[in-house]
Amino acid sequence: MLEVSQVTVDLGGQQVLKEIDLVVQTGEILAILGPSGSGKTTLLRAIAGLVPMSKGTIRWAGEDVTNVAVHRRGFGLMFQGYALFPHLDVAGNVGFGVPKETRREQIAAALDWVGLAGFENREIEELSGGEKQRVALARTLAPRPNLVMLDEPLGALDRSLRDRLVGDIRQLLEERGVTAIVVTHDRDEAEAMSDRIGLMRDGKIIQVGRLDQILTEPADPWVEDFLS
Amino acid sequence: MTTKRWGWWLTALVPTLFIGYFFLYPVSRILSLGLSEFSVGSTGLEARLLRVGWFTLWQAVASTALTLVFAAPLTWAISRYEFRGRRLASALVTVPFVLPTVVVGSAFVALGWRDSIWAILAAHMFFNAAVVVRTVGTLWSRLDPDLLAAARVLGASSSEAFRRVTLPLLKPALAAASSIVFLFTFTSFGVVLIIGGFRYATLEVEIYRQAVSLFDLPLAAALAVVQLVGVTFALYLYTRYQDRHARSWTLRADARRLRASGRTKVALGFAVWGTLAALAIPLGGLITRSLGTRGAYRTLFENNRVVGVPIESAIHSMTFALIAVVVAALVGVMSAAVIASRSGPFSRWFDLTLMLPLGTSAVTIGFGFIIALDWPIDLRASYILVPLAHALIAVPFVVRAMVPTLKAIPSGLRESAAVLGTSPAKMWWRIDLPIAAKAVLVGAGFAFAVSLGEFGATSFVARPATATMPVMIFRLLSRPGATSLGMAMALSVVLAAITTAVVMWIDRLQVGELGRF
Repeated sequence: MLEVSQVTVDLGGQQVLKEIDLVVQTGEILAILGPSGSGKTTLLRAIAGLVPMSKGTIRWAGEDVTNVAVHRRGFGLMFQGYALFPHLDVAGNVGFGVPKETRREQIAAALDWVGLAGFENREIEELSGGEKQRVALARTLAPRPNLVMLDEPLGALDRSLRDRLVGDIRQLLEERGVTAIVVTHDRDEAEAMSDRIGLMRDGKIIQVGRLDQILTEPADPWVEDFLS
Repeated sequence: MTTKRWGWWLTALVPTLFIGYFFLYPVSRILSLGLSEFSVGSTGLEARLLRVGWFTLWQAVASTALTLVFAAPLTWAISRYEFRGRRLASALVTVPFVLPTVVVGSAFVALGWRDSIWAILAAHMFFNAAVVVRTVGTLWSRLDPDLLAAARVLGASSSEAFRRVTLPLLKPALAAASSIVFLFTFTSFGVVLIIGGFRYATLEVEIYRQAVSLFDLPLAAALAVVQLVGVTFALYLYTRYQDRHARSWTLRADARRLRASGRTKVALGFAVWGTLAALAIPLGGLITRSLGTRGAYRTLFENNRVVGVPIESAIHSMTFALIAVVVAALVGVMSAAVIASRSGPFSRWFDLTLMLPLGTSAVTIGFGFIIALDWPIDLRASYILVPLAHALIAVPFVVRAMVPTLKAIPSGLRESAAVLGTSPAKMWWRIDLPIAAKAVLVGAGFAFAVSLGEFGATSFVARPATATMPVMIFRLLSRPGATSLGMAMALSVVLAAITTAVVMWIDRLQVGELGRF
């Protein structure tokens, strides 16, 4: 279980995250939904340990990880724009975070999950947008992280591809039984990929719940407006 | 159409003759003289070659490695982080690079560092740090920071992320910077001659000694052949590497720098202040020494029994620089017009030939002048060889400054002019030239700066009566006594000031950064 409490982030003299409280149950998929600039990406980066927090704690499985270095947290983050390593091939990317002894098997397994079996020796530049997205997903999943965070996983893809992949991602996460946070600005995507939705605006979480719950009892007029 | 063709060929003819007579012909004379020396197999050639060649090679490799290490902290600081004075720091690091080699030599002599291999290596580091900071820094600042973040999230510690992600991605720039520094230090002349004396002779210094002091021209030619082969081999390796590894990483168009906090801030301070302080020491020493010698500046204006009036060298230098600028601008503008107006194998071949003097050592150029330019008329005793040598070295700078600008002129502009009935020649005059005028100024500025500081070729062709500033500084440094030393320092400060002023003027003209080589 991930517990985020009172997390506050200041960047360049501006408060980007304001006292965020959030709980994600083990095995649950939570979507963070909100307009661009609402602080969704920063929230993921704060949980991963990539941005310094001025206040607040992050606990995983009851343990305080606030001061644990990024690379020791065991969290996975798929970046918006994927951030694939251009100097490595597909296997080099997917196996980056996997120990040597089991690397080969784990690369093959992760590529198999995302439907790219046999892509090991392909160069990143040769891949289509959809293939890159799946390599990035495989790279995030390959080290078997406790918590998986996906930042706009379908952002750059075209409509038809997105519709197809939404279901794939959810199935993949559920089969692995991982705890996950998915950031998106698209209501339908959020609904299709997640168990619960957290609505974010101006660095604050406005409301958390299942979409139908939120729709029947919106916290304020803005929520109603944003979701319709 | 036919008139355009004629004009094109005529325009191409002038630069071709210039490069042909002042570069290709002298080099061919060196080759034939040097190769015949090899076939004769004179005594002691092999042993000397082995000794000098080996020293040249290992000091170049060592200098390159040390420069990379020395420049690394500052490169890291100014490409990854935004802080107050970042631009100033990156401008200051370029100062040593634009200084004439003779001034760099004087600065280390001012510190009392002479006849030492460490002084040579330090001077090379001092001079070349800017190459690494500029070349590697440009790429580094454009690497997507998310790549590093991705590595960290995947379990890599920050040093591991640097080794597995940053370093491989910087490889093309590291290779480019290393090759440039290697070439500069492999062909290093002024610095080694002044600091190392004859005890530490590179191929360049040995060519100079054999040709000028011992008049063994065939041996000097043989050494020059080795030098040419070495430089060509290095360039070949570099081009082959670039061809194989020329992969375009997905770079950010703009640089994204982070703000430092906590421990990083302290590290930044050390990197920036430490490097700048290290660079300031030789220059500070030079200025202190020149001011510390009683009447050093005043005696520059007085007639000296041995060297004449030292400050007159400034007048010679300026005059030569102006002639060199005119010649280089004429040849350069014609060459650029030829290269930019047409693409095809001839253009590319022409472009490459024009760049050759840049890759050739200045000593080879000067040496070629004195052995070859006695035909059809004997030019060897004429002072005109000095500005011509400078112009030859400066032409590539003019061409490089102009070609991108000319190629960027939108073709719509030409078409609309053609519709209005403008002839090609008139079109060039009315459209291309005004647009390229600024580029010409930049190129001319470079030519002026190059001419002011040039020492390698000048040391062969300069006449005692018309010594340039670098030559005068060298002569003063070679004389015993504190007075001569003080005068050398004072003249070095004057030369450094003029050069810096010229380069600052170019930098203000240029829209982009100065860091293209």
